[in-house]
Order: sequence, then structure tokens, then C-alpha cells
Amino acid sequence: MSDTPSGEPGRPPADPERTRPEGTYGASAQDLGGPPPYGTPPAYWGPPTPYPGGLPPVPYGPPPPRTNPYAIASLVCSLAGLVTGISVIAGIVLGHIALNQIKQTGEEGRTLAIAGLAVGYGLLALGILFVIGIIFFMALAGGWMTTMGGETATL
Amino acid sequence: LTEDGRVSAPLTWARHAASPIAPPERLARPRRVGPLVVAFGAVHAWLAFLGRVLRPESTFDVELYRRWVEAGLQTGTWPVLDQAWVYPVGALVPTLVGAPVAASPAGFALAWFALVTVLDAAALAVLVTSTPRGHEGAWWWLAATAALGPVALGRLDGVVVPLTVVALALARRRPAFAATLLTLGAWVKVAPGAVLLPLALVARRPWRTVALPAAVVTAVVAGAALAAGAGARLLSFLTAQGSRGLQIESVAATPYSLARWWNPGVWTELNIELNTYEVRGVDTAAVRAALDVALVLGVAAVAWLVWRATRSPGSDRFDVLLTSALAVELVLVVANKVGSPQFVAWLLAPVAVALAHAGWTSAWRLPAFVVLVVAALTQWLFPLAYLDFLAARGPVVVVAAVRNLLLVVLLVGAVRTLVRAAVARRAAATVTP
Repeated sequence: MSDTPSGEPGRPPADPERTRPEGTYGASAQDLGGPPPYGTPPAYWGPPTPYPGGLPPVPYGPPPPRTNPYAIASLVCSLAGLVTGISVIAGIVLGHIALNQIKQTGEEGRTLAIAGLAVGYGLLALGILFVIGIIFFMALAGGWMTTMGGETATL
Repeated sequence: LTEDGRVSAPLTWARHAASPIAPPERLARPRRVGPLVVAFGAVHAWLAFLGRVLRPESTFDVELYRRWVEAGLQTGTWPVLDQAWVYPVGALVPTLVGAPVAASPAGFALAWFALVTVLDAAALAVLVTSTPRGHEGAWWWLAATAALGPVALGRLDGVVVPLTVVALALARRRPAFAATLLTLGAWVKVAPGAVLLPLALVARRPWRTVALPAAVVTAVVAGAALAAGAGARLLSFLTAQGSRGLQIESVAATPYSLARWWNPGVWTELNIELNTYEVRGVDTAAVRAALDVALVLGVAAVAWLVWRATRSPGSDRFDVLLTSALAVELVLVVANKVGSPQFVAWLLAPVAVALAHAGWTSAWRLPAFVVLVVAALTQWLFPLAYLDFLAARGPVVVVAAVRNLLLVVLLVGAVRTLVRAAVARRAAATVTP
């Protein structure tokens, strides 16, 4: 029971709700595997960038609190694979690009990228084996499916 | 960055910033996820292939879902809305994913597998990025899913397990969100709802963070169903299985299962309505009735232990939550007259999340290993050797008995852990006035 590192000495485990710091943006965007929550930038990003036109972030400055676009694109492409099929390839490629970029820049979006990759690889593998399955069926000259109805299912 | 991968400045790397619950969880350095996602794809594709091509009978439930959807689309007669159903009304939602291809059994099956794969992918991503040792939990989850076999994919349970994984993984920081997900899951396949009980007992403000979200979700789901004309059938899932007999592979049926070897007075019958095999023999009706009581008492007992353990001074509420989530799911499996193989999938969520937090080197290693074995034996039982099992033929009868024994052992272990946590309270109380 006590193997999970938690329970700071002298301080009871706090209510997750109560102790969520209002002003920080930590650990919220990633929790849902979604985009940053409702687009409210944290207060201390307040000072507008001195560079007009949104230049890339300067070194030594805080990284931009943005979600890596490749990560979003990866998940979108992979999910679109449910309909298009082929776009999972793009989802996989974009996912790997996103992970590499996130590793270097520390941007948000790692959850999205991993989800995009897993959906991509999952659907790709399903599709490949589905084709194999069709060939399998053809090789067996049908007739197999009809035995299916009589077999057991467990609700 | 400091050496241990955590942030040195408060503004950098938001993902690793302190979590709202004290103390901050230490997230591991990002590791390579390539092998994990490739294995993820391979496991899901293999289970779909095994479940659809090699052993089509093992995912026959998906074909039932398709027939319900097809009938609904063609005749306008929907489960729950127009006739009683064994599932809660929310189960209609995932089945409708295949509505565009409802005419094609293969197309619907592929759509269903794709749905479960997408949900699993989301759970995997959450597990890996928002828990301290997500890779360990994720790899174990994949292994256990592969060990359990096609029923992990080809059932409604495949939909609710990733929901439960996400809920438990985030419960530490977002109990209200966890309660929302678990309630949604409960309206699909009941089992996640059982975790709401320990979650409420562990939460510091149970009414606001657990009861309120659960009530809102229930109001929305029930309201929509009633507006669509469900009426009293909204609760038909509670009564639709009342007449159900003792399923042959259930834990309580183990003595009967073994007795089939020498006792001709014990036999199995097909329940045509539910398409399950039930055991008939001496006192099976009494056993069935006793189980219905034991199920309620078991859940109540776990709840009481959780309440005690949570108020133990040194106890970690989150660990109590995971242990009791496992315990309560085990009660639902062990004290259940239905012994369907996919029930084992319910056990995966708490164990995977526990490993993702505490790691493979923790006290969770033993139960994690046993659940893995239980999953593998379950696949052996169904679908691999199910016909032999029904005929009481070959080693699978022993395999099933061992599997059931291990389920009981797991339950005893989980309850013992909770008892220890609860008793620690008394010991601590005598030391500190």
C-alpha cells in the first residue's frame, strides 16, 4: 500500500481539486490528452512578445505554451484514417516528427502525438490484417462464415 | 533541466510541472514510444485477426451488436428505447459507430475493432504521459490485453476498460473528471460504476467531486433515453438477467465444472436467449441465489474497508483507491453467476494504472503477474478450448478451475491489503493520542 511515493511527511494527501493551483498551467493541458484547456493562457505569459509578427521564441526565454502542430495533425490524420484509411500513414509520420520536435522544444502535445501514433499504427495493422483476412476467406472459398452464427457468444 | 529530468524553473516544460496534489508526482524522462506504439498496433491487429478470422465465434457478440443496429436502422426498433436489453442504454452509443456499415458483418466488425483501438490508443497516451512510470503500466496493459485474447477487443468491455484506465490514471488530479468517465462507462457496461464507490470514499469532497458529476451524467443519459421513449426499460439491464442461471465457467460453478467428470447429475445447458452455457445440477439454484446476496455484501464490505483505510493516518488515498478498485472489480467477477471471459478485462485497468504509478518493482508486481496469468488462462478457456470445456474434456477443465482459484486468491490478497491499511489506523491511533 505504501509503495506509491506520496504522502509528504506532515502533510496529509491533499484533495486534488482543492490544491490545483489556479494560476499555473501545469499538468492540465496534458491530462486530457487534449489541447490546452479552453485557450486561457496563464497569467504570466502576459507581457506580449516584443517581436512583432510572432517570431519564434528566443533561446533562454520560456518555451511557448503552445501545442505542437504536428502532434495535432498526427491525431487528426490518424483518426481520419477511420474513414479514409490511407491517412494513417500521414498520422504515423507526423506523430514521429511531433515527438522529435517536442523532445527538443518542450512543447505541449506529447499525449496527442502518442495517441496519434497509437491510433495510426493500430489502424494500419488492423487494415493490413483485414486484407490478409479477406484473402484468407477467399482461400477457404467461403462457407466458413456461415458456421459463425451457431457458435457461442458470451454476453 | 535538473539531472533527474524535472524542471528547474517554474515556467518550463509544463507537463512536468508540479501536480496539484501534494507531493508533486515525479514523471519519468520521456522515453522512446516507438516500440510501444508499434507493439500496440501489432497486439490490436493480432487480436482482431484472431477474433475475426481464426476464431470468428469468439467475437460473435460484435455480430449481435450489428444485428441490433441494423434492426434499429431498418425497423426503427431499438434496444432499451423499444424493448428490454441486457445492457444499459449507453451501450447503444459505441455500437452506433458501425451504423454506416451496419449491413456488412465484416465492415461492422472492422469498425468496432477500430473504435476499441482508438479508445485504447487514447488511454495508452494518457497513461504514458501523465503517470510517473507510464511505460511500465502501458507495456503491462498491452501484455495483459494480448494474453486475454480477442474478447478484450470484441466486447463492450473493450470500450469501458480504456475509459476506466483514463479515469483512474487522472483520478489523483481530476477526481471529478474521473467520476464523469466512470459514470459514462457505467451506462455502457455497469462495471466501471463500481469504481465510483471507492472513488467517492477516497475523495475529500465526495459530494462535489464524485456524486455531483455522476448525478449530472446520469441525468443527461437517463433524460435523453426517457425523452426517446425508453420508459421503465431504462433500467431493464438490471432485471433482464434476473432469470439467468449459473454460468458454467463462473467461479462459483467450479465445483460443478469439476464434478462433471464423475457425476452424471451435473450437465450444461445452453441459455438460448443469452447464448451462454449454464450448469444444471444439485442446488445450482441455491448457489445462484446466494451469489446475488454475496455480490451486494462483498461490495459493501469492500466499501467499509475503504472507508476505514482512507482514514488511516499514513495511508495514501490514491493507492487505497487503486487497491479497492481492483478489489471491487474482483468481487464483481468472483461473486457473479455470470462468468464471461471479458470480465477479466475489468481487472486490467486498476493494475495497469497502479504499475504506471508505482512501477513494476512495487508491491503491485505479484498481483500484476497473477492477473497476467489469469488473462492467459482465460484465453485458453475461451475461445481456444471452449468446446472441450463444455464437453468436460481435456486439461482445459483444470485450467478453468485454476483460473477461478487465482481469481479468489487475488480477491483475498486485495482485501488483505485493504484490511492492513484499515488496521494500521488503530495501531497509529494508540501511538498518537
